[in-house]
Amino acid sequence: MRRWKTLARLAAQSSWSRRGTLALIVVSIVLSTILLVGLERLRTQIREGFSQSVYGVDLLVGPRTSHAQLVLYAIFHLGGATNNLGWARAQEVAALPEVAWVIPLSMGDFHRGFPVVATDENFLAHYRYRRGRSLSLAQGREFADLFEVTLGAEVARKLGYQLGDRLVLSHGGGEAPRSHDDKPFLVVGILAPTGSPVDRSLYISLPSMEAIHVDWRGGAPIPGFSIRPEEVRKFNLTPKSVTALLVGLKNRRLVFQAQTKIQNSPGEALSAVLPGVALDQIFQLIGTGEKSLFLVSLLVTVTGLLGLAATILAGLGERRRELAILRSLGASPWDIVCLITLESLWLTALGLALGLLALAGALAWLGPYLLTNFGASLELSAPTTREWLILGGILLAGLLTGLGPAIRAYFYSVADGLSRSS
Amino acid sequence: MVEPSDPAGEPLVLVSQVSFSWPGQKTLLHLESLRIEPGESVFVAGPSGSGKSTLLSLIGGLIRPSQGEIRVAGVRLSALSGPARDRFRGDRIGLIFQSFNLLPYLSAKDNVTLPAQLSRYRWERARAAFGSVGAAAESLLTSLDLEPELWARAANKLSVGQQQRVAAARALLGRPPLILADEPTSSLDEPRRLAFVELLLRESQKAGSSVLFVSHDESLASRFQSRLALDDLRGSPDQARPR
Ligand SMILES: Nc1ncnc2c1ncn2[C@@H]1O[C@H](COP(=O)(O)OP(=O)(O)O)[C@@H](O)[C@H]1O
Ligand SMILES: [Mg+2]
Repeated sequence: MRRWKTLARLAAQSSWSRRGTLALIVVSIVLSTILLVGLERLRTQIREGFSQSVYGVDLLVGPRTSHAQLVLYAIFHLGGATNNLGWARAQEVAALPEVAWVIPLSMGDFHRGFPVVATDENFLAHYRYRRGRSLSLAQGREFADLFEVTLGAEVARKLGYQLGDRLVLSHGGGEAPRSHDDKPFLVVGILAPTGSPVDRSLYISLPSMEAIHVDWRGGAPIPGFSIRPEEVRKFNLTPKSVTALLVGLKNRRLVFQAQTKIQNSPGEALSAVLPGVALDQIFQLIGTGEKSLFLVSLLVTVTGLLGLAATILAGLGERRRELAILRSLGASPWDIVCLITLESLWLTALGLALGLLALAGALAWLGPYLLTNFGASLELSAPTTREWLILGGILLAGLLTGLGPAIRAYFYSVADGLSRSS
Repeated sequence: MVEPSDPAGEPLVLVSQVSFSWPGQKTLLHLESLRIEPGESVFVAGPSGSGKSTLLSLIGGLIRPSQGEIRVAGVRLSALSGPARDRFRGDRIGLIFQSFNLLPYLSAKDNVTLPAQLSRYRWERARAAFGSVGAAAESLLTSLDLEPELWARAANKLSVGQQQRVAAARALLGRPPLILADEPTSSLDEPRRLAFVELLLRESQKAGSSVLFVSHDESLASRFQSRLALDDLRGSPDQARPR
């Protein structure tokens, strides 16, 4: 017991005397830790952010199409809808006894590359993202009247819009979008950042969507026929169709029954998708990038540990004398092995602790910034099991790294180290 | 742990028929016989390069002889495994090196107590005599004229003379039966050499330790009970041990 205390104290005092060199090792372990744990966290949160882009929606209903296509279009606004879903059919789905609420989504228009989504008040009330967070407004209010728009956080930030600004939508996102410049929209609200596709969208009401298209047919303005915004209210602005429905069930355990029921209901053929399952499937496809990210951080850590081994080995030369002195005073070769291993162990532990602290500090500081500026949601939280495993792995690797030089030192002869003059 | 038997009449150190050569070199030492009695102080003279340090390394169990037997306190060193020899040395032998070999990052006092940290035998002997290892170290440092304000100073911030006295105190702590001193005075100026040798001999006598002191400086020899020349030890088989 006293021997261990002696060795631990000697290891501490000895490494303190070499702190200049050793600080570099600790820094490299700190960096490895930050990278490995940080990338791991980024990876899991990207995955979580992705697979929980929409949360609490039990079914995604649209016209019959592939599940992935429906998800990409309805949630991420990627690709194009091949066809729409009649409004009457949508009403039928909403009226099913299993259904608690429905968020209708109608898409197709854009504003400077950002998708415009027409929906209703259920969107703000029921839409949830990561772990069930609800949407909130950073400024202003939700769209209500015709030609009012509420912006996602990133849209407002990137395009520099403020409340009271006016903007013009365009039809389609293609190469030559046609402008709806005869009917500008008023910015009435800006949503708080979420780190989900919501940040990149503009939200208007379904009647607004209808209104900007009253004088259009088949994706183009009717030549010689134009209706001014003031007159548009005289028309029936009930939507004729929507792109997709986000459906919440009263009892989500009955999701498979509801899915079957909707898909088999008579009338227009429908697809009903479990969004979580479909999102996971899509992530499997794009997840290879995620694996290479992990590989890179693993390589960084190995490099850091090789640095540790190299520095300890290089330091052995100048410590030969010190180790020989200890041997001459009765320390056994095993004591020397312990001394060197202890040193690399506690250097690694110190690097790990500082790395975690730095990471926590960085997340606390940069988290909100990353969310608003990059839509990346990185949060401060206790390490996950997987992260603990990574930390344990680094510590073990540090121990093993110290063992190599320690075994080399084991074979140093005492006389050899002492006969050198200082 | 090997308990040294200590039959009456057996010398503390007994070297017989030992020869040694460094790898790839011709035979450096051939010792017919060398005896050191308990409490005896022995001076071994020899010119530089004659193998004095090598002799101390052999007796201290830092290296093994190519041939022959070395017994210290009744224990055959060659019978001990490496770690057991390290422990035996830590228990029974205090070493003072030519370059002192203090740990630079420890204070003077921590350097002195180090042998007791690494050897239970010396820990217990220091405590038995002074109540605590710290008190033993302080008493030794005081006897060796090292002022208390220097005790906490890092070893590499002491003068050569101060370092030498710390090294002596470290060797004496816990009263090991044998002190091996390798030209500890070589870096001191003339008048202080004698003073140091006298201090060392006085303290080792108090501790009851034998001293084997090697040096090329014959002027110190008169203070020791016996004086040997390395050349004499090498002698032919019929030559008796010179005294
Ligand atoms: N560690 C060593 N390895 C190889 N040769 C050594 C070693 N130490 C000493 N020698 C050789 O042994 C001879 C005697 O050295 P040493 O015992 O230090 O003599 P002294 O202490 O009397 O000056 C020298 O020629 C030296 O080269
Ligand atoms: Mg020498």
